[in-house]
Amino acid sequence: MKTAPPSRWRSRSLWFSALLCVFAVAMTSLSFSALRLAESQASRLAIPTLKNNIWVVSQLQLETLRFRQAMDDYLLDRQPADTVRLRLELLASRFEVLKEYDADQHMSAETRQQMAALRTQLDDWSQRLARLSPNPAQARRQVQAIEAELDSHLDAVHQMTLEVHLDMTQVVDNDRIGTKTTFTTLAKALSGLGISVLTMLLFLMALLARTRRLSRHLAGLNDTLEAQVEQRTRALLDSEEQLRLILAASPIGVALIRDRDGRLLFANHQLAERLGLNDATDGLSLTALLARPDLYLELYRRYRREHELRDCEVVLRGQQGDFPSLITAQSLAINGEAASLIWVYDNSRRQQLEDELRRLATTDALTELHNRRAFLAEAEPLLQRARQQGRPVSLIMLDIDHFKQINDSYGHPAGDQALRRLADALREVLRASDICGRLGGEEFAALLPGTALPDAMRIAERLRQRAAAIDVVLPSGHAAMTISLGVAELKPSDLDLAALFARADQALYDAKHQGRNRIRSLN
Amino acid sequence: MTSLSPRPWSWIALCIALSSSSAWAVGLPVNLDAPVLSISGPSTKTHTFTLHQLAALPARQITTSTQWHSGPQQWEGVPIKALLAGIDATGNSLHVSALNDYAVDIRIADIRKYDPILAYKVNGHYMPVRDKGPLVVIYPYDSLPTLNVQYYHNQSVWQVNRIRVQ
Repeated sequence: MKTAPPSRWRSRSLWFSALLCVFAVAMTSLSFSALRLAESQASRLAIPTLKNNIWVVSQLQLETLRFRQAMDDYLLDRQPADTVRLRLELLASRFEVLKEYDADQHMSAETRQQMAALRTQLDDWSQRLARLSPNPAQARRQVQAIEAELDSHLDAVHQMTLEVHLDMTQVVDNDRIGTKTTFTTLAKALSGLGISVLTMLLFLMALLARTRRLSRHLAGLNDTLEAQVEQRTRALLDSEEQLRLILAASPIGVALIRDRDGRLLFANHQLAERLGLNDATDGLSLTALLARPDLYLELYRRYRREHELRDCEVVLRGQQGDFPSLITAQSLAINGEAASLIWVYDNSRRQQLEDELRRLATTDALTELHNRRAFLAEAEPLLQRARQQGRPVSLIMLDIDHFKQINDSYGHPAGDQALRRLADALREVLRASDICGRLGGEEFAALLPGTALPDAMRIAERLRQRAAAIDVVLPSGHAAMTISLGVAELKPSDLDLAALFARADQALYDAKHQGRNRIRSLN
Repeated sequence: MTSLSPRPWSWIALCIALSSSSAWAVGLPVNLDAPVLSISGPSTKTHTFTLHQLAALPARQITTSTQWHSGPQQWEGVPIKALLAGIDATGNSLHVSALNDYAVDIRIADIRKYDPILAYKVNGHYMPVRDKGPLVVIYPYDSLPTLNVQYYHNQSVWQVNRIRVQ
């Protein structure tokens, strides 16, 4: 920036403008006055005038002399009396013209009087000439008298001619001076106009040069700016594109929603597909994504308050049904407008895996009964409750007889089948409130809450019968199987589960030793 | 121009006009039957006209002011064009002379173009010699600005008595 400080330039320019205005007004009025002057002169000179026509005066003198000459000629008999009369008329006509010419103003008072006297005399002479005596001698005397009278006026006529001539020269000279003044004034006005036009031209040229310089400078700046903008735009586009790529490639669903109208600015493929969004989607908001917005009012309020959410477990409304997810939301500004960036982690798979894992950890894979650990884990609180409530609890432990032989004789599939069929039997016979599990190998256990020993014995019997009825289907034929069962009821003296287990186990042992396929109890 | 505005000296002019008419009473009266104009020239024999004869020719009126009269006057007279045509006079110019020996040349082209008249009446009256009679050359000065130059005003000859066609 090599230009002058703008404020200085502005004040200078203001000053210039004011000066220019004053100048323009002055020049306009000057031109106007000059124009009026010229116009008045022009109208004054529009029609030729007699004003300076000294001929009128000199002709009066000449006609006077001619009149006298005519009288001389008459006296010498060279001209008739009518000629004298005509010459008098011609002289009189000159006086008429002299009046119209307003010659009096150019004469001295004395001459004016003398001329007036001559004018009056003319009428007298005219009457006398009209009535000339028929006697020639008489007439001659009359004319001689007129001639003598005329001679007394000749000096006055001469004086008048001189005075009018001198005064007229003065008038003409005044006119000349006036005209000269007019032209001088006009010349001054013209030079003023010329100077102002020149000044304005110079000012305009300076302005033009400055404008051109500024515009060049501006063009340069503009080019630089454009290049910078282009570069930055490219960088921005690049980074935007990169961001878009990153977001699009993100395994987590991402959506960018404009808060004002809920317009979907961006959604990556994962989320769009899961939620059924497309480019035309609008009216979106965080709550609109939720399956049950009413359940998450607090969540939404928190987001409004804190402008961000982190890993909140919610259920979203998906295209193929609702699904659990973790959402993270962040309020931000896109192009100066508030928007929400929402990350959606589809939690349904994890939930499934967790459930599966939990199931795997607590369930025996083959029989889908509780495994030992799960059985024990559930048994303990059940025992506690029964003890507190003083209700009976019985434990049945059972074992497939000669399971090893089944395995050895018919193969493991047959053993597995036997185990599964037994588990089915257990599920059939036992109530939902009972806990049932495979403790290991061919050994099973069932804990029966609210069941005293006699009832437990009956249930055990039903189990034994159901097991004996199991027909293990083999490729090579059929195999029968039996089970032995040991039953024990919880006693107040039992300190823990282990004591109950030990008795049921002993009872099972007894059943085995006493021939299998039977039930024994120990209390 | 000046004639259109009522200035003091237009009243003076009126007084002059009145005094003039009283003067006519003492001056030579207009004689309609006396020869007042002679037209001569190489192409034509000399013709003389009395005011009666001129007044018998087709007349034309022009209302205009002149240098010698304040305010427009109504002039009546013979168009010079027609006058010349009547006597078959041809030439390039007219040498018009007056009783007072004023004389000026008028181009025939100007006569054709501007059609001036040889006026014998002003405001309905014949003009005595005292009042610039008997004849005055009148152009329509007020109608044509181009005529308002001294050249054409100089051609407004009064007290005309001779015309030579040349």
